[in-house]
Amino acid sequence: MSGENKYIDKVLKQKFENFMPEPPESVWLKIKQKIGGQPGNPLSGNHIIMPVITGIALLMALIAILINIQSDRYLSFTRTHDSEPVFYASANIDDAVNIQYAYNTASQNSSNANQEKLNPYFNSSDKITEQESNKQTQNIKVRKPLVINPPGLAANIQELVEAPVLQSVTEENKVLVVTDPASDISQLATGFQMDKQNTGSGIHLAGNFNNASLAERPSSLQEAYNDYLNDHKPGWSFGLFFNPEMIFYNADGISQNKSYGVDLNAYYKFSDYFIQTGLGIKITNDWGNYHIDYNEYLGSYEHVYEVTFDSTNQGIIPTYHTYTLDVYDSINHLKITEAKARYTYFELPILFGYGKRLHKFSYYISGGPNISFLLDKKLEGITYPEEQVRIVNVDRKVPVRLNTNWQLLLRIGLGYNLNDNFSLMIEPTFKYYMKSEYDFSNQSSRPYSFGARVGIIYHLNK
Amino acid sequence: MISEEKIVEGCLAGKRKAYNVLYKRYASKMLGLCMRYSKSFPEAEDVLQEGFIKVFKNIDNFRRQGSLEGWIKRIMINTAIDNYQSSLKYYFHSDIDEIVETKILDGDRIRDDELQLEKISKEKLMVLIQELPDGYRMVFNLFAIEGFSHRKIAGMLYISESTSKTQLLKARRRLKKQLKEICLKHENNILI
Repeated sequence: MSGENKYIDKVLKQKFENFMPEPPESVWLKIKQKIGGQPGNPLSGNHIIMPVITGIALLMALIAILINIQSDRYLSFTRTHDSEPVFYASANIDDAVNIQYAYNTASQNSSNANQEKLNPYFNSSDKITEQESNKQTQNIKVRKPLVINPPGLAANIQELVEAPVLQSVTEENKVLVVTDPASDISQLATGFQMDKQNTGSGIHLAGNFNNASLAERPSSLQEAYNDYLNDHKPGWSFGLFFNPEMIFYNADGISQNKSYGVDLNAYYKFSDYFIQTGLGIKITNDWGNYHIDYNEYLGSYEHVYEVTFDSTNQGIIPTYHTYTLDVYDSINHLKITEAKARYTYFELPILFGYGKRLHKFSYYISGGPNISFLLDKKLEGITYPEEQVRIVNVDRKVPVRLNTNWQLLLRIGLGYNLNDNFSLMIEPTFKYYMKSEYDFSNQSSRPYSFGARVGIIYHLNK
Repeated sequence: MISEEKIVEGCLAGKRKAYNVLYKRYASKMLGLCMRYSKSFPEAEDVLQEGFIKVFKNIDNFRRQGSLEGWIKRIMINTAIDNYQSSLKYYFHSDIDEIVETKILDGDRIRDDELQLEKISKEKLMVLIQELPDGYRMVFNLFAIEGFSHRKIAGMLYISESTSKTQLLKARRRLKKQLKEICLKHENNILI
């Protein structure tokens, strides 16, 4: 058998060695069009996608950093209870609001009531002070604590004490005046005619808030500060998500596919950053077909495989030993039936993110690799053409998938905080597959997917 | 005759004439190869076109450790494999061992002297190769003509070694059967 094979292989090889048909001119014309005269560095779509993705990722990271810097300059934390005053403290004493500027602004606002336009430090005035529309000086209502850090305070005590914005403060609308740590707070206290705890008529005085003794902090603000610390305390959160996705394949012959998954994620949060990992199960289907070559059944006959002879009184009697042999047509028939394959993946994300909590809402962005492992595949059985056929050959043509693949994942999370412990989340997600899920040698065209995860997060340590 | 080295240098320098020379030198031979891996001539043209585009785009990756022809040939084979997969919309043969089937009754063995392959034209042989089922054709070409091992073929086509062997066996059986029929017709003075 081996010799026969060598013969046929050898002869065919020789025959085809010098088989050189002339290609049509059109082939060369198409090649010329495609190469565009610049071999080696074509700008194909795939060469562009990666820089674009990288650019988007860098841009998102930059925005996150800018938001963080901006927040650190003016806003350190936010309360989540509407009924409580929202407290803001400067994280950097050099960037704190200048008391003189605040005073001047407040004075101007007493007649202008448009604080935002006049004072760049109060651009986010809705977060620092809030005024009613009434433009009268005496009606300026400070609903939220004003936190100010007054370098050169001593020279301006009188002006500060007489500032309309502070004079309008009531017990109900507390204001905390935070002074430069180096300033003599007692002068200010005297100016405001405050009690020993540096409180009076809704105005509370403290040195640098973070460094001030607990006794100097008004209780409501202390609570807010505690919340701030709590928000920034390292801790764990856990999330359960439903994760539908639509995957797009550029040139893989499969235009798009859907998948559904359930994710259980763990987050370790430190400050405004977090690391996320977890377990996910993703299910997706592929459709293909079975090509069944078969021969039709024609009938059967009893095949004699042995004859024995017995001598009897009546002579020699032959005995025919038979078995039933089926007969099939020699013509091959082809039947194509649909084949469906279901694939289950185990997913392992390792993401790094940045997030903020703002009142009832929170947001975050995160990115990193997501690794998928093929756990299981289930294939539908073949539906044979007829009851009795002879199957010559069966080709099952369904996508062949890799056991592992990985993606770069970018996610934006938008959350609604039900309370301190639970948040509802919706998370638009983009994945760029670094390796196709499918098993073909041409990996140049990489899929990408869009998804919208929805789920709930439970925050521990609250 | 321009040397391989000069052609490569010309291509690297972006000279259109060099592309043209390279194409003209190897196009016919590569088309013969592509035809063996394809079902039809138009499909072979597509593979040839795609293969040469890859050659030109990746000419800077040619390390000059082997012949240029060998390098181009390998690219064409890879392109043919890609095409084989993509022509099935990236569906390709599953592991045939997983499928239960009845015994193939292919008749008696066919002796070499019955075949008389020398008398059969290249074009007719090409048609027989092209008419093989996709999986058979790929494995037969890679093993019998190119000389790859079953292990290598298994890696190239993402099939198991045993599948590769089975496909080869079936391809040979089928070819032999058809060749025998042709030879019989020939004996009966039917023009091949």
